[in-house]
Amino acid sequence: MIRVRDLLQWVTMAAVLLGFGAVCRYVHPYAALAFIGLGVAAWLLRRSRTRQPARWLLNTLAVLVVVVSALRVSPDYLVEPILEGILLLVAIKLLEARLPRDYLQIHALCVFQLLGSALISLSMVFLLFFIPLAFLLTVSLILLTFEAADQDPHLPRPAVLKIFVQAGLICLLSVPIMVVIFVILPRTNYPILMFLNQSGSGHTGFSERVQLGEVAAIQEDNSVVFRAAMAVIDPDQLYWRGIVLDHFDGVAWTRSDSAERPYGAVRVDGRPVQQTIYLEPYGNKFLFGLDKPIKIQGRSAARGEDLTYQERHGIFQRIRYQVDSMVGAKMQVENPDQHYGLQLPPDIPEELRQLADRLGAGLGPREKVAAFVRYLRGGQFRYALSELPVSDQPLADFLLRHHQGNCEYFAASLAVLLRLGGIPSRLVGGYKGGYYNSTGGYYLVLQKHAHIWTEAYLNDLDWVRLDPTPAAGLQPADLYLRKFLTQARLLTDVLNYYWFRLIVDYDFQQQLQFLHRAREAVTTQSWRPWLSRLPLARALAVFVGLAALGLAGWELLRRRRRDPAVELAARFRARLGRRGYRMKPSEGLEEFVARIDSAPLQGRALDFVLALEPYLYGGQAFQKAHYRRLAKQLRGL
Amino acid sequence: MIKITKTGWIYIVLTIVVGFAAVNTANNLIYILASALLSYMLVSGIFGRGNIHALSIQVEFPEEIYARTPTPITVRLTNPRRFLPAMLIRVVTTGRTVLFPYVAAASSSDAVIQVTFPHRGRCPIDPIRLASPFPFNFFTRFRTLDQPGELVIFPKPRNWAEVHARVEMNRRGGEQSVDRLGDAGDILAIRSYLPGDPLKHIHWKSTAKTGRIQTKEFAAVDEPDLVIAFDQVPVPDLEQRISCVTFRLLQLARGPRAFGLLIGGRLYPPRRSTAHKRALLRVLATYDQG
Repeated sequence: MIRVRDLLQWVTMAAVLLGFGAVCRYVHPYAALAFIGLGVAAWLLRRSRTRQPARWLLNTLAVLVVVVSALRVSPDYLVEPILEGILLLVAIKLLEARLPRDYLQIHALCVFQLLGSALISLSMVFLLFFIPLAFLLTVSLILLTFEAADQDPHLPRPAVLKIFVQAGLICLLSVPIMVVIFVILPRTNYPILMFLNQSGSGHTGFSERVQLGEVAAIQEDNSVVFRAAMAVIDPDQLYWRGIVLDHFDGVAWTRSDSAERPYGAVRVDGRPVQQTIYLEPYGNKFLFGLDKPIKIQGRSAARGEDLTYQERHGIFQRIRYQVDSMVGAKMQVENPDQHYGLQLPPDIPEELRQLADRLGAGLGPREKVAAFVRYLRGGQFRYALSELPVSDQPLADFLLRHHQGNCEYFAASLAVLLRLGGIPSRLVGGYKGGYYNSTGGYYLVLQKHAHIWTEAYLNDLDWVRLDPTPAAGLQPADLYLRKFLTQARLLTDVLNYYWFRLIVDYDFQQQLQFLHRAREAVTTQSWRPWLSRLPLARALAVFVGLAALGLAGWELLRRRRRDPAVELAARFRARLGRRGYRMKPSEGLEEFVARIDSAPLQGRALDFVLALEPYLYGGQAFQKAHYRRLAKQLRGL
Repeated sequence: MIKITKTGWIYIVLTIVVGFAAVNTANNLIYILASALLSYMLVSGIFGRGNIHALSIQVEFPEEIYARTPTPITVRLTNPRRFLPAMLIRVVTTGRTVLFPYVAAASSSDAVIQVTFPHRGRCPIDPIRLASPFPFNFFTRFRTLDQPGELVIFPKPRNWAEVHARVEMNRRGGEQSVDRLGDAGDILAIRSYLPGDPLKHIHWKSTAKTGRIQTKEFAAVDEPDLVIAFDQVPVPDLEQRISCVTFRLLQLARGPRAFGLLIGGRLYPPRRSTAHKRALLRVLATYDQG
């Protein structure tokens, strides 16, 4: 026999540890230490069976914790103090846990811990804590029911096993119901407690000032910048435009006011490509889209003349938007500013001027561009991520002495050479490439893919993209892909993608869409072709079909294995059971029939029993025809 | 039938709080929590229903139940389900509650309760109520099983020794020797001593005469049948009289005589059987109850 209270203590301990796991990343180390200390004390007290501390003492401590947590709350720092308070309350409750209601309170606090962690992070790690915690809380609640119903109950081992099985079944059965409730629970466009949701931390990313050599630091970061759901396209076209930098001070590139000019008349042609971008919080205001993004839906971002999109505030929440891009586009600007894209720092080294003059001597604009690009890609320059020239004159160092640098050096050099040659130019910051996940149908773009390229303004071609960075040599993203763990990460990223797409981003609009679609499907029966198109639905249908087939087969096998006479007798008993007659274990079939009140039923039952008995007791072989006849007789009862 | 418990109310409040938080933060993870809490409520209902479903109860009463006497009653809970065990089933019968913490699938479990019925006479058996807070003590679910029938509670026996002498009316008068061997009637014969014969049965006179030990053989005495005339029992209080007569009947049932009862102008002729005893007790139990 197992004491329910002991089991309850173990399960509660496990639930508390899980709750702690869910929040330990967000609480102050001192709070975590205090929790661990109190938890160990509670455990030791229980082990040594010493008297628990007085309730008044613990209650005073709890009140103190609540007061301190409340005092620490501020508009910017809201959830963490509350979480720390809850964490300590759990530990205090562990010290005094004696009555079922104490355990119940601990479990409620665990739920609040999980809720708090959801306010801070939307990561899928939530599920890692949610699923086992749900199971443990289910077991605890069942055990608490036993505690409440009986005095210090003890249960046999099989009963305990059954409790765990039932808890598992309850969890499993809850899942489909949960999904339905999740989809239909009311949602609003104007949540009043939105401020409780914590902002995501921004990664190192592009800012409005890019110093030479800085992108190499961004490229060291493995974190995800965005996922772009779209069809696969030519890798050479995978330039994700984000920010345009047009002002160079000799060391860093910045964005001038003229770049911020609202969008005038720009004509773009090329091949249209649509994407849905799931952008992670990265701290800056620019939205990314496949070069050249002509329209962004789903956000109210201001579009500049240079086809960049700027939000009013930095992006600290995960966002979703649709982009319409023109790939391989020519971009025409009406009434261009004649001086735009020609600015150079006054102290530009003379040697750079001479280099530009030498390379572009006697050439027209197009030929000049080709000559500059040829020069940079010519082989004497090497792509490198370390030992980059960092000095007062980094470009001169790069072009004339070191001959090695990363994309910024190449792009900035080309832009400066172009400007020295009288051709308007600018830098475009964004990302190049991305890992395509064919399962999820999206490009995964990491900080590793950070890239800077050049745009030059040619009167007949307008703004054209020029990427002087040598294609040869492995870029950080390519190197990263070679690691085994990266492969695993890319495979599992599809889970992340669906987590955000289906769960985290599910909102009022999607709910409306879903309901609309469901109504349409019901009224027009349009779900049939839709079902056949959807791989998930198809897989589900196959699974349900197989499961039904398996169950039917099992039942058939079970019946087969059973003696047909015994099976008919069982069916007979079950049939009469439904009429309110239960056969006693000691009763014979005829005795049982004799108890039936209704004469016609009794007559029919007796006929059946008399026909069955030779097979049941007499060992007479059963023919198929006999079985069918008896089964028919049984149905007629 | 469902009754929401205190824990259930707390759970409902918690669900509302989490639901409110979900709607107003538009945080889908909190929506997941709220959906989980709601679906648990539903699933706990389904499991609670399943837990109480198809169970059957047999309450076994003893053949003889006497008023104001603790009586053991066996309650048997049968769980005919193939997979699902029955957990935390409370059975309410005859005003008493018995808890079955765990009954495995396809098995049954017995519990004995002591019940004291306060009054003699017919006592309808109340429908049996099954109740269970399983799985989460949020709701208590009830089911009522009809067990038609009634019990007859026999009167409490009461020893009133001095009355007994006067209450018996011998229909034939005195003892009668019969033609059977016994040890209390007249001497029937004298025979040779056999080892084991009691010394007091030795017929000394003929022993002396014959020179061999002789033993007396006696006729058996037939106990006459008895009829208790209820109305003539000199106990003024009716209930007390019934109790005394009950005691006497039980006493007689243990003896060798046949016994009968004359009550309310009706004669129940003397017989000697358990069934007869119970029939008379039933008459006494329901006497003057319409």
